[in-house]
Amino acid sequence: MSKPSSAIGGAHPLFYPLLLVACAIVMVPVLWMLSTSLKNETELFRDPLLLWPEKPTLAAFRSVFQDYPFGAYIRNSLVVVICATAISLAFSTLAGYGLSRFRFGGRGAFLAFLLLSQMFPSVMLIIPYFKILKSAGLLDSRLGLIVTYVSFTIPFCTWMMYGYFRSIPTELDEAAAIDGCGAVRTFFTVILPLALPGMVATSVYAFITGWNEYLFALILTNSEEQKTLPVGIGQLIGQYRIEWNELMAASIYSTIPLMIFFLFLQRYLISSLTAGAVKN
Amino acid sequence: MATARLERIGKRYDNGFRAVDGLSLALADGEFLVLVGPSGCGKSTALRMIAGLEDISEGELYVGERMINDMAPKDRDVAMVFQNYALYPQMTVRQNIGFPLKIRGHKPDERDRQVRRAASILELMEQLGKKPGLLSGGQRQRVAMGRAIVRRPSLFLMDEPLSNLDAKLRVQMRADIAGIQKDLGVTTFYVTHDQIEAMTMGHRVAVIKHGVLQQVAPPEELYARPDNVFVAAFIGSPSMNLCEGTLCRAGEERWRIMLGDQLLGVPASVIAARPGLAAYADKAVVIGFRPEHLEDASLVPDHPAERRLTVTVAVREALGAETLVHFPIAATPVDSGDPDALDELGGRESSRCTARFGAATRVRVGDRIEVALNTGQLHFFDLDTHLAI
Amino acid sequence: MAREAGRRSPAAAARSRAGFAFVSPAMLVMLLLVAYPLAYGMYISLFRTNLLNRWDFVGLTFFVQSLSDPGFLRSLFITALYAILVVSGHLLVGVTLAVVLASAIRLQVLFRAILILPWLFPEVVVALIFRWIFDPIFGLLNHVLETIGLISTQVAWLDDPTWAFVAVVGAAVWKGYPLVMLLALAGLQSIPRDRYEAAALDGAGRFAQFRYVSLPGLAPILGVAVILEFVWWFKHFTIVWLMTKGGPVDATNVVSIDIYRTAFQSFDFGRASAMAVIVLFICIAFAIAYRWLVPDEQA
Repeated sequence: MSKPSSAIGGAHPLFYPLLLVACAIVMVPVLWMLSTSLKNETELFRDPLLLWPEKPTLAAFRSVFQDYPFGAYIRNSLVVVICATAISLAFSTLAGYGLSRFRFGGRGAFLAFLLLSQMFPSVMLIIPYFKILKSAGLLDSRLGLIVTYVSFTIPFCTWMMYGYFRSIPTELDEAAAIDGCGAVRTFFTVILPLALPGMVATSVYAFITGWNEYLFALILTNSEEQKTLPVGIGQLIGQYRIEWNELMAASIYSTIPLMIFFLFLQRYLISSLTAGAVKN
Repeated sequence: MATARLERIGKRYDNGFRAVDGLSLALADGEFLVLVGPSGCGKSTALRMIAGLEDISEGELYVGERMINDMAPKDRDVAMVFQNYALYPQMTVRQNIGFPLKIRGHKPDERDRQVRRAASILELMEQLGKKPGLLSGGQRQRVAMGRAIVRRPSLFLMDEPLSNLDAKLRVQMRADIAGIQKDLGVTTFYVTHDQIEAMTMGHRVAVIKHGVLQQVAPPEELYARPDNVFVAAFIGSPSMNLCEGTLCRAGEERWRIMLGDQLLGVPASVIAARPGLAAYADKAVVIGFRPEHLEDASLVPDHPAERRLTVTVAVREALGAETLVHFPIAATPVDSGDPDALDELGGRESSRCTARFGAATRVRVGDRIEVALNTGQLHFFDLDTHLAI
Repeated sequence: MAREAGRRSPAAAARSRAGFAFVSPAMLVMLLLVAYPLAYGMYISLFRTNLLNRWDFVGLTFFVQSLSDPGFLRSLFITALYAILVVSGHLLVGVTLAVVLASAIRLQVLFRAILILPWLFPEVVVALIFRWIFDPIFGLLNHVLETIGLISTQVAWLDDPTWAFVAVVGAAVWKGYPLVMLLALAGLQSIPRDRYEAAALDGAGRFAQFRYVSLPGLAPILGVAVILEFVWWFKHFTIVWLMTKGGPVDATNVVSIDIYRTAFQSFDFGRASAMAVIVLFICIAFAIAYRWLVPDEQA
């Protein structure tokens, strides 16, 4: 991460209050979520409202697993999202390299289609996917979800990797060619190691997108065994009596992986956003 | 070690643009040939075609006796030094230099031996473990050279390798590269836009303009006997002064040239040495004279009066070992066709000329002085074709 | 880049094959998993169907009906309003915070870490947190407002058409501004410092510097971001659905919800597909119009 040097000059005194307000707006819901998750049932519905539990407890974090097939939700999300991310990453990296280095028939059309496909409303594809997966017997299955998630992460991931590869000078490919490498060897030995930051950013994006996804999972699964985390959480709200503390505990569970992911990889993410953004 | 031959090599793009047109060159084994010309003249394109990085549209390329037009770069047995070095950032110097050997399957100890050999020639022994990011420009350039020489290829290709270095370093590297090439005896194509590099390094120099070869000859010949105006103006720094003048015949053996409003006498020997010149009597021609062939007349009092120009000094640059003096003369300037040359600041009616005076000169701006012209070193060119007479 | 004329050399043909090979896995996915379903979706829109046994060809009936249906048109309007407000909110908040973070403030790293947090929350979670905050009886908002004395009785925010709309916009802005902030930050850091110095010497104050140096420098990045953001939030579903389910009384009935209900509650798949195709064309039209108006971005 770049040093916090000043890009545009000194700090105005008003900046600090502004930042504090912004941080407050961010932290209040977060802390409220935390506070709610630590309450037990009676404290939850106290009047007047308790800002922070008098007797914080992790009961909700445990009962969420007992009252619902929460372990299944987590497992499904992990499997589906990790597989979809891996496949998207592999395909989009290869394609991004091919697009940036070679001219071939259909290249222009492919690029245009990549761009266009990011305009599709998900609702547009939900109905055909529903029918197609149903006919293929892949409804209510992790495999079906993986296929679905791959379909909408690949366009943007390919676009990101394309942008990233364009920032790697083609002179390196030429030097490798003269040194004796064929196309495949050039890619794996010379260029791929340099593309790691871009690949990290792409996989973070794909992971977050998949982990987040609600609508398709909602429609394409119906058995508790196959539902993903967002769907599982979303349906907690449909109960007659909403157990907000469990809900918040579940929410914290579903956010933690993203935070960990992000914490470790933020250096790559931010630097490659810069590289990709600027070069694009 | 091999000979190389380009036969009417050309490069044409879809929109009809010809980057290289009918280029024919033949290199002897071990020869150092420099391709020089202004930016965009096609010299880099020609080099890349030899490397296999660009397809050849027309003509044939031979290395040794094999025609290699359709060969992939890796099969051509050439090594290349890129302008921006193209070092692999994730590898150390040792790995960068050894990379071509590794790809070709050489054993680790054999590789190591070759790498150390190249590193010692290029004085990189201290840097072997470092990655390119930590090296200076000059060191990176030498690593790029190391990667090229480690393989002992048939052909070296160098694409403006010195243009990213600062001036002093460039001077030193020129000598180093020339020395290495001589020691290794590898046939070399060297591309540059800097004519000083061309003149100091090449066995022969090929001047290229708009993709067309203008002249190929050893440096001294390019300097003394340029084939056309472009070569005359391109080679030599500061450039040759070129303007329109008229050749006048004043008698059987007496010739004069009219430069603007000044008349200069020309010895008959000069005319005799250029057989075609007689046909241009009383016609307008392009006259060229190099700054180093002009001198402050007060420093050479014996110089005949009829071979002096009378001018007013406009600009004076004292360089220590010599003084450059700029002055206008009332003759129409000639455009040499070099896209990088500054537009003539004198306008249509007067040429801005440069002279190299010795350090002893005492002229100042505004002085009206006499300039001695060495008429034995005059160059004449046809006004329309720009070819040397 | 001009392409090369003359005979196609074996080398060029080989390169073309190599390029194709690299691209083929992704291309295959795109064809099978995107192009085909897309075409199939358009096909479905021509039928009155329940996707099981009933397939009655109706041609463009559903298109005509939808485009003249005030309910659908109203939901398009609501969706457009929603997208515009959310994206504007993101730009306003994101760029402002980026400008602040890009200046020489202390603890920049800490502030940035906190301000990125909302992006890491899944949309489901965001929707639920805000729904809980807006809860009439036990919500934090009512509690705080009552304590301060701004209101005297509890307000059912999500039951009021106007406030429900404000609430879903607010939640979306809270969730989505970090991405714009990061992009703007990256963009600001790539503007050469000496442009600001030249502007300062020319007499530009802080605001003028922002207007004449920062904004033009950010324009390329933000331009692309705006297109993608608008389209993204135009087709948004999750936050609105989980907070209000499109209510109350269709006040927040964004078009994705409308389509969802038509398809999976009324089982009128053909009509829903037609509605989705209309949305598709709107998104494409927007992208084209935007690029036409602002052509110097290279997307």
